Amino acid sequence: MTRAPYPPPVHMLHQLGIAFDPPADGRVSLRLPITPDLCSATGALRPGVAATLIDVAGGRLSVPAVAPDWVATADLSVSMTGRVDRGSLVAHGHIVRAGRTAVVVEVDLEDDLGARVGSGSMSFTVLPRRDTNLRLEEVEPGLVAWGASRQPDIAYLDFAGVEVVDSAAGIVQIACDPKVRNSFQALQGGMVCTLADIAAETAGSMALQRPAATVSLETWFLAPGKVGPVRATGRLLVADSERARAVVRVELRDLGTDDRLVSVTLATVSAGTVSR
Amino acid sequence: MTAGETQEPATATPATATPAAAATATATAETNATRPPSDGRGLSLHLGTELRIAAPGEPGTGLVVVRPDLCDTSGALRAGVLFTLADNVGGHFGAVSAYPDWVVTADLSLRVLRPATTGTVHATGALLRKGRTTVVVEVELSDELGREVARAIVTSTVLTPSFDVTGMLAGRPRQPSDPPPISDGPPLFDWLGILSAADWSWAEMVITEPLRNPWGILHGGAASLLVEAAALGRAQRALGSEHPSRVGSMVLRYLNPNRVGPLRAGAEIVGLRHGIDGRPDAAQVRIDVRDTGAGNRQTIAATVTVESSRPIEEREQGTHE
Repeated sequence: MTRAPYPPPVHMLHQLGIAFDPPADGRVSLRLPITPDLCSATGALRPGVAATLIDVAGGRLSVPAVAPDWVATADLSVSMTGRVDRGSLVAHGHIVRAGRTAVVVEVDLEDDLGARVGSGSMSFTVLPRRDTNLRLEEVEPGLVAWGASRQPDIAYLDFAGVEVVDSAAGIVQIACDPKVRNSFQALQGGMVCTLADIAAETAGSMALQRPAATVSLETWFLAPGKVGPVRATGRLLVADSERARAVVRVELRDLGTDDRLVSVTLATVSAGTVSR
Repeated sequence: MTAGETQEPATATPATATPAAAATATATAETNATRPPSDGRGLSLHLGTELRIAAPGEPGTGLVVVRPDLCDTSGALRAGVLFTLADNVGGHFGAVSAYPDWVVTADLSLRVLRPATTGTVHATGALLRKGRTTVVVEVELSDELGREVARAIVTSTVLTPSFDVTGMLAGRPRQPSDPPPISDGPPLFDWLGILSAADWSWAEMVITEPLRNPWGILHGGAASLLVEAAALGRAQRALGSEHPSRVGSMVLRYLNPNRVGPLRAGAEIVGLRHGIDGRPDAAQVRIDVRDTGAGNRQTIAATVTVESSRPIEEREQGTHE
């Protein structure tokens, strides 16, 4: 069976320009060049975009670890503690455990100079292999450098087709185009986190009545976003104006599949400085 | 009972200083070791966490009464107690959903939203996903005024049990013969017998009988309290604040069962966050729990956010260093 290459030439992973060496000994390092359109209104890289790098690292590590079986992402968490707004974000991922039923991956996030700026982790459920899954040999060998087909004149969120439906209510949505789908044709995990990041930031800023940005999020993947549009709605759980912090719960639903619940995210939004 | 029991090679042993010589002893591990062996309810009986099941086959709701010995120095119920309650409710909900299969907690994430300082905290679950291999349950924890104090999401792995789980679904409610809940116990970390290095780079705990579940494995809730103690101790130094700090969020991923002990939780600061006044007001701590009696294998990978209770001072944004 011949299959179109993944990712296709026009795809969010090319647009981000992620580069990495193939994993070895259960470890992988990836690099994401930071451009202003990947940052929030406070000027720092969005954790949702960092989550995309974590998602790619997790996939690259977990799939070979369980081969010939396959994995589904169960949840992903990312927390930024340092500010990155230029240069590159570097993610060093390693397998903490690869068992019969689950794989756990941890990721350290660094800036160009090797300073720690955040961390992430993921867990995967091990699934029996299906014919529609990619085969290991279909994954590019050697150095991977996505971005040859990058469209430099279009901002990332515009490229992806992220649309603000109601900024006051923290509602954003995306059409499930091939450019934001993963290898099994569902909305890519990093894009799920990016939508949740934006919805949380909108709801949190509104509650805190000042510009604020998502600083950490954890997302549970409940069902694939297959049809679209997929809509993210943020709901404020608490706003602590004394400490300029809010916690927001975000649901993503696939409007094309009877509003099926795609994911739930818990996010912390802060007006503070994620400094240096 | 727990998925994936593998024999893993021993890895490098951390600092070998004996707790007695190099540690700040917050209590002796014998504190609770003198209690009689239990049927897996020891932790629940001590904390007073209850699971109430209205009818067979229905998910239970949980409650715990706030007591001074279960609180931190600011008078807020410890995150690990909320975690234990969420684990009870989320685990039972998962088991009901997976019946006749059984479930074990794979990971649990808790966000503390407001301090719970008085009265009773109630917990209710909602099913987010029931798959062939996992069940995901969201648990809402609220105080008597209906204010949400915490929210948790519990992911359980579905297993084919080697026993009939029907009896387990009925819960293990408090019996008339059970000792009444105490009201003047030692602080919780002392009751657990948690010891720490002087610089809080690690904390240690013996697995005593009351802390084991019916399968002899440490209760997830007890593990969460060890993680909380290690994270708080480490972060308090890093935050350098005279204000008490508390857990804002906690994610535990269970890798292997905690069966032998003592358990050692290594704590590492990932980074600090700063308030709009430019001063540090939160620390991200990574915790690695190892069973030193089982080849020092890693049993839990955890990430904890510790927040200072210090109010931020208003100042012009962008003027900090």
